[in-house]
Amino acid sequence: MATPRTTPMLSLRDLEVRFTVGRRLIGRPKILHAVNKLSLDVERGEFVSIVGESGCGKSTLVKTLLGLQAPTAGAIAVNGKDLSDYSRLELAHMVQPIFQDPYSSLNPRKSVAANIALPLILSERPLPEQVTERVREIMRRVGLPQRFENSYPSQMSGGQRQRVAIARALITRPKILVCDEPTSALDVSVQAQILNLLRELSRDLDLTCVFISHDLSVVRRLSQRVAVMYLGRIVEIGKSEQIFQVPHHPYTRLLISSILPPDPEHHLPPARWDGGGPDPTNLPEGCHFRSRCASPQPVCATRLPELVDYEGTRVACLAYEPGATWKPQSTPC
Amino acid sequence: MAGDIETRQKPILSVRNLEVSIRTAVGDLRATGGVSFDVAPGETFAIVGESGCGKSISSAAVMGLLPRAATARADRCEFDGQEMLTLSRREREKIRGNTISMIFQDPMTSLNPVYTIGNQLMEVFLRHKKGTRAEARDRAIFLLERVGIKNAAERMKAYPHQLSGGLRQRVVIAMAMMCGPKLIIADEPTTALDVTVQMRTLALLAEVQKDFGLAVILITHDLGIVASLADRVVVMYAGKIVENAPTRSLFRAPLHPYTQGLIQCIPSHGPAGADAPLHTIPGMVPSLIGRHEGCSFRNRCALARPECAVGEIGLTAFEADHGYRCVVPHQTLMAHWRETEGMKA
Amino acid sequence: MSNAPAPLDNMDIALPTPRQQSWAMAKRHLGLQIGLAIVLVATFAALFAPLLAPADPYAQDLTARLAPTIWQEGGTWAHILGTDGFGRDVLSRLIYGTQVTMIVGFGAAVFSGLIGTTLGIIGGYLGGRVDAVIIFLINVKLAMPGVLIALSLVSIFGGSLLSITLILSLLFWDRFAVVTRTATQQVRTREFIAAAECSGASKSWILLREILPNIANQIIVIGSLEMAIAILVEAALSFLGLGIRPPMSSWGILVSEARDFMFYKPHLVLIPGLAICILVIGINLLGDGIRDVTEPQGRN
Repeated sequence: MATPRTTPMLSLRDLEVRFTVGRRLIGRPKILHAVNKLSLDVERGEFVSIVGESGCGKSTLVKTLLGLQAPTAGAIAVNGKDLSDYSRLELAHMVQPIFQDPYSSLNPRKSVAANIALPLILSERPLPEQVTERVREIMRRVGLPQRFENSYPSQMSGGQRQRVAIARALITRPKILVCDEPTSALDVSVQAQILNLLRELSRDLDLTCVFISHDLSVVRRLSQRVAVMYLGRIVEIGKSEQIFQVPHHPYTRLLISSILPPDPEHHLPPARWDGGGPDPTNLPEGCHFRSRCASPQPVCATRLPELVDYEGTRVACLAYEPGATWKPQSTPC
Repeated sequence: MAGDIETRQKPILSVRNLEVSIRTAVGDLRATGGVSFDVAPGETFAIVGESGCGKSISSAAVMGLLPRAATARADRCEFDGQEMLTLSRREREKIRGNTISMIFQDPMTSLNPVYTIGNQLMEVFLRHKKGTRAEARDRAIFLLERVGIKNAAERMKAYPHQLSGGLRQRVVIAMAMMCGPKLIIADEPTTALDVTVQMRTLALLAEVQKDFGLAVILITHDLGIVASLADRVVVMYAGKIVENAPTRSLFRAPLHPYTQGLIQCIPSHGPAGADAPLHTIPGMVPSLIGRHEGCSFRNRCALARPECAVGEIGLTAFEADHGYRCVVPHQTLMAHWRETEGMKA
Repeated sequence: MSNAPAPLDNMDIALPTPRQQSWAMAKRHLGLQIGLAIVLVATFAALFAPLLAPADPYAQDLTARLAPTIWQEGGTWAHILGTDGFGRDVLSRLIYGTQVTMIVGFGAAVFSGLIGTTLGIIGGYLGGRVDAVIIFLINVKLAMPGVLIALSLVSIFGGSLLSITLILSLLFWDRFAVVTRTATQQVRTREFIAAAECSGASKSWILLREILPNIANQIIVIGSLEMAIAILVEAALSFLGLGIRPPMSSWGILVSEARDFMFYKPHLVLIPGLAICILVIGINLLGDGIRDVTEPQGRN
């Protein structure tokens, strides 16, 4: 993407988040690189998905984007200004979250209206009439009937609760929405409703969305760009159609082949157990994916691949670097 | 019930008219209303539906694992010729883990964190079979190797928390196999697992089932899993079976509007591209409290008509082994399916 | 649409609000009702003692010493529960004693609750060094022999109502701190706390508006337990002569004064003893009942 552009809405530069785990009496403490030299620009109004499995660092990334976790190194800029230069309230006006579990993301002791109004009350100190009006307006927008105003979260279904969470996130009209697996706790038919709502809202309100998921199929219809994360790094990033049609990185291929379509002609491959990934607190030299890769080469053990441009996407795999003489086989799971 | 579909082979589990109700503060909740199905030996039988449709509570009723506020009754609930609902607790415990095993979503519900996995595997065997510890140990190692765990003898000494989620679920599968069951009930066995691990775990389950020739009841919300694993499927909605068919037949000709909607709203169904919104089923599941007449899906159904609100709607046979619970003729239902599918293509 | 089917009749069964649900459960909770009745009677007696008491609790009548109760031979309606060794009306002294008992019990529960809850939620929410200091304070408190210290403090500062209440509060905050700290740690991990943080909520907002309402029922349960214990300790202090000074009346003093007649007028010990026992049971029933009907709402 060489085109000159305006300031990205969200810009991550060599972001690193490290944790010390298992302090020991003797020897060095173990260091977990939850997010490792991650760079990403998200344009205004863009819908970017970040996909990866448990332990890839996506939850830490969410916390860092929301200002709940300080980065160890590197920088995050929101609308051109460093995250650390924002006050809590200023940041709340720019970035709002939608969390995974609608059963835990709403305060059970508060009514729906009080839950939704919280960001508004904290940031704008409005009059009570204004609060009621704004709450009703946003409830209409996310498809919640007004009769739920005085209900409590325990009276609602998962899908309705997630709509409440979306209403709360949008009531102050933020610029960036960070969605942390917002549908993984929901039923399929409700998941589709919520995904469509997010898609529609992001377009109508010109929202910049970062959508985190463990499931590639969920983000397929949603996002303009998809980034695949593995052990704290982005291993492939590109336009959504491209990632799905011609995935390059063996891990992206593995994720795509793990989608089970509702098609009885699709057969499960024989169970093959690779050795699993490396210990994240003790990453080896070279490519971190090579122990799970179907066609690792000797060179993979020597150098950690960086993201390089390859046919319109960016891939972190030595096979796609200029001059590489082999391409990875598609992983038979 | 008229219109029920009997399988020719003598079923290993046969359930007729199972009704479970749960007492709640606001009234009796009819968790299932007249569920009937047969599971043939050696087949994978999927019960699919969304939360609250009664899929898990049906299997819990069969196993006698209902919460205290729930009561179950059925015209028949026979496993291997034995009526399950009237068994004493002791008789039921003889069956559980022995001829019927269960696999749950969270492997930690089946594994005790304070014992080694070897200990727990052997425990199951010694509780039900008259064998020596050496035999139990041999079988445990054999099964751990069968589920793809290397250095099984070494791994026997591991505690559950030392294993990854996928590995734990494999141990649970091995544990379910310890006594050579005839039936395994797997309740959302891979929902808690990562996608890449899910596929392998399912493939393993399928292999183990084939090797040992046992029947599996697969309870899931994911039609993708059903499509790749099950021989036969029942689709449940609001406590009732709305469609009952062999897997191929179900996906080729989904008749009940709910089944159609459920297939269509899966994100991986239909064409890719950022511009098509996902198919949705509007509205939400009705409350199951109290009795209501007619079809429970009618408030969300595109084909709803006045007859839908009247009486008890029976299961209509479309093909010999494919039934659906809807008043609309199957030609109209198929036309609706083709039309909505065509709109997407 | 003309050919739409009749709507599902139970579509709109509104689930009850948490308050309605608690109320519905309270109506069926016998223990809660008994406990509430006992506590209400005691509170009523304490508030309206001057109106309820049939006689002056301090008026001595040496001609009518140790009068029998109404159900004993020779009992009269003038002294339903008889008189004590100074000829004072036992019923009136019992009713007036309720005042001291309730003030000490309630006051100690409230003050110790304030101290313990403040420490507990701050430690539980902030964690880190603040939490370490608070854990240290709790451990120090747990290591102290409570009743012995109460005895010595009372003997230093005297047995006024205020000093006894405060001394008991300083003794009983640790359980509040332990429970609220753990409860706060559980609530803190829930996503609505992160959502409030992302909305720019201050720490005090999160502690008071988000966390406190979610652990309130546990605080009430501990409060009831502590109130019951404070009443027992007050009675013990009074019995040992270290509590409220006679001629003021408290249930502990009634027992203490009746010591000399224990073997031939056992009812003088039994009546205040029974009162203490019933009130303590009542308070505990009430606390357990409140816990049962207000347990966290995500009950599905």
